[in-house]
Amino acid sequence: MTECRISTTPIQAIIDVLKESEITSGRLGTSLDILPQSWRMALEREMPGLVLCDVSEPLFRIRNHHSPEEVALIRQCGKLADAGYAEVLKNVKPGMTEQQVAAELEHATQGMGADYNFTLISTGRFSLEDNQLPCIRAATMFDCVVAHGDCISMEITPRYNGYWTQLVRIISVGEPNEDFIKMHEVSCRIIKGALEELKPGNRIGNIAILPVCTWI
Amino acid sequence: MDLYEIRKKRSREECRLVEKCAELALSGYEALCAAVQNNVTESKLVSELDYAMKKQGAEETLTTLNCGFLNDANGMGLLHSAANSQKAVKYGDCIAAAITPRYNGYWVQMLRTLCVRGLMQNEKLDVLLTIGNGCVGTNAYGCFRFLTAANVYYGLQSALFFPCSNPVGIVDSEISCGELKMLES
Repeated sequence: MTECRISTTPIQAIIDVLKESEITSGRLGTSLDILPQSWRMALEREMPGLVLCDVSEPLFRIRNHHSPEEVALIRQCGKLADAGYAEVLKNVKPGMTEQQVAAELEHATQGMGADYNFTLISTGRFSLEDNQLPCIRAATMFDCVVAHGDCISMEITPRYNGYWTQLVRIISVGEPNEDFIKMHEVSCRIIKGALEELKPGNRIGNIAILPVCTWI
Repeated sequence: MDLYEIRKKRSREECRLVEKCAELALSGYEALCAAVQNNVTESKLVSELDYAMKKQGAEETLTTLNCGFLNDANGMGLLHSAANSQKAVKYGDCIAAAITPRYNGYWVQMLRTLCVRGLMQNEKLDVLLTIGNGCVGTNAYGCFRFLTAANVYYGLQSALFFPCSNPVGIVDSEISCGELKMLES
């Protein structure tokens, strides 16, 4: 990186750079999925000679390749997620709200340098006969209280220096949940079975349609 | 613009949520004061501040914080997202914080500047107070520095801070542009 500009009006700064570089006509690659409408209108107004074209896919393909420094950041982010999970295990108890569980989690990851957390959570009595574990969601949607015997499902998602990692975990509170244990064992067998099929030459689509029941 | 005008009118329920959110901000400020000590990092302060608000119900926080002092080599820059900052607070520093919880969709922002005890020299305190004075009449500078008379006033009430013989006087006094320029240098 050779230049960094800080501006309170980023789109104007971008336009200034384009003009300074005498890029006033031709095709300008951008990600139309995420380009704010106000930015698009400003570009079209002030740079009428430019044609915006979507380069989201090639950009994402490039971003799939990470430098060693980026990999190191992702690994550190993984450690943050582990620390958040460990903190929940240490502190969770019946009577806490989901929000308080999330606070414990994020306190741990922030303390290790997470610059943001995207935490989803759900609490309920996991049951094979009557699934009472609601969909995973933001902790603050409801003031749900964790009860003895509940399961807590969490998407632990810290961001570290701009790099995300996600760890998904379900825990039982107070006592083991027999139905949850059965589901966990089934999930492990499915993963083990799938791993045996994940080899060069096999297509993901083919693995997905294999009869899962043979692994259960 | 019309939409914003409509949204300026709050129902009682909305006011209650905003008030609750302000209570969360206050609890964050108190947690920040409790966490301040020599060598604590900016990131640690942010984590303690956010933790206090979230465990009481804040669904989101937008905390910016920095430490340093105004005219030193270790100067106090603009407020920034401090999550990753390992910059350590030293006795004699100031800590500026924008404490911003969200509760049921409603945001409140509290701006506070703390003066950490220890090595604060009288002239530095004077600078801070003078900026506080200036913010009363010059909002632009107040926003830039995130230092308001109220910040200084509340700061001086804390045990962490230096006593002030006449904190109310801060609010009443004025400052000239010349003095502000001197502070910028």
